[in-house]
Amino acid sequence: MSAALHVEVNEKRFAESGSDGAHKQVIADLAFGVAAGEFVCICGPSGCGKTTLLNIVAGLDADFRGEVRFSDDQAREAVELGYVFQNPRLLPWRTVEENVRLASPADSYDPALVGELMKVAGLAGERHSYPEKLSVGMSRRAALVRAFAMRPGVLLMDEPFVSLDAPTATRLRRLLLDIWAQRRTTVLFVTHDTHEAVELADRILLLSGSPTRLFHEIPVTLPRAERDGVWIERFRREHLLQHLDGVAQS
Amino acid sequence: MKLLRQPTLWSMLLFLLFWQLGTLALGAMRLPGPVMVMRTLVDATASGELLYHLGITLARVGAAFVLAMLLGSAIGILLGRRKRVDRFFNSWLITLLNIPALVIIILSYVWFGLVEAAAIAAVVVNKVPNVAVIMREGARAMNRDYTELAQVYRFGYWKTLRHVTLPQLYPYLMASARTGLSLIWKIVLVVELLGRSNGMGFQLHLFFQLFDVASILAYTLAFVLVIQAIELAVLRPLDSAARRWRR
Repeated sequence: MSAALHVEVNEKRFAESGSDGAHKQVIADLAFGVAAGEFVCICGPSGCGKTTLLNIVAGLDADFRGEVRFSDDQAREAVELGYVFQNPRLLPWRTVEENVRLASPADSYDPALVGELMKVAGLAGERHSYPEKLSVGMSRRAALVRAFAMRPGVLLMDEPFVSLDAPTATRLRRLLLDIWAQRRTTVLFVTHDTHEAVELADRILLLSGSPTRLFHEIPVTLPRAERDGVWIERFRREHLLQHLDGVAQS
Repeated sequence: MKLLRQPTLWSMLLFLLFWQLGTLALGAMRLPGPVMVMRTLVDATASGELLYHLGITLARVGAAFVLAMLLGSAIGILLGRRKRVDRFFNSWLITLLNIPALVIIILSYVWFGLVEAAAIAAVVVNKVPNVAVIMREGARAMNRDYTELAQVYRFGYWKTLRHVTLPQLYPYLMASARTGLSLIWKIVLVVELLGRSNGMGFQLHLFFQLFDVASILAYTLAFVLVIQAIELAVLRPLDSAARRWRR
């Protein structure tokens, strides 16, 4: 079941390294909602606290002022939450398949689905390999399979395609959209690549740098099948670039 | 012949040669030769005496080993995870680590009497700080990335322990088990010498008084063989099983 999401971070501070008691404010008055089944991309300069934001939504970081609510006031524990981290984070002492199985709740593990996902991700031959034998691209794909296989209601993704070669990244974006179209998972996708954001999102949230605020919100309404390279480039020029200057100045 | 190209074989032969030369130099009374020691070993085994004392000692080593590993791991992991507890108890640990084994053994016998429990306790107290220090290092080196992964995907306590925590601690467990075994069996012998009326330590003391060097060497040889067997049959396979996933 995909869930809607409401995020409100009034204040998030980090202790500054080296100085005692000094706290740097990283996020200020940031609030947004995500509808059930919506695909939202979060764009912003690097180091602007995008990962921190995802950690807050995932419940990994509870040290902030504000709240994260799921639809119908479900507790976070009731929502199946998938998180594709910036690095793959596969347990190196478990095989690819064991990694996938461990992340799925025991009662909903579906070997047929996993087999299918492995095939689509090009990992069918690596099910019983240990992660250290995989390339970076393969590890990233395995991390995606792990997140999809648990049928998340909310899927958090933190630049999952960074440092991949272009064809692989394109293939994985296709895979992501296919799976999203089938399951209508709610997706919160962090990227600094505006091109990628325009290609994937229903809505783009532009964040400004330190402390992070919501700078602008841009809906992308054209059906994904019609978003070709030329259109994406034009959309980017017309709707995004002007704001990026603003982001840089803020 | 493949056997002739084994370096181990040649190094063993060289060792026996030096031994024999030593016997010639010092006299068979002070350093009995390999043949005589072997004969003593066979006789002591046949009479059942060696196996009895070896068995007693191994039982003590086993009990002390298990207790020290459990206690030391628990303490070490706690210290590695909780910085404030670590800062508070660090000086205790350093002190314990540096008290001579002999002092702990004597005090244990004085306080609890010449009983089996006192003997085992003395060995355990000697070994625990050692295990704790190694396991503390392991707990400190744990990767937060995996802890977060377990939290997001709701592994729960047992699944996290089995699939995330223990695999990371495993190399440290193996290291403390290895150093543990060798340290413990040396201390057990001292404990037996001072306050027990059976076991290898007691026997060695007896042979010392009788100036029976051949028996001393025979018992030592028997023990070295047992420890080697444990290394080959237990520790090595455990090691390679845990390394399977490494490139």
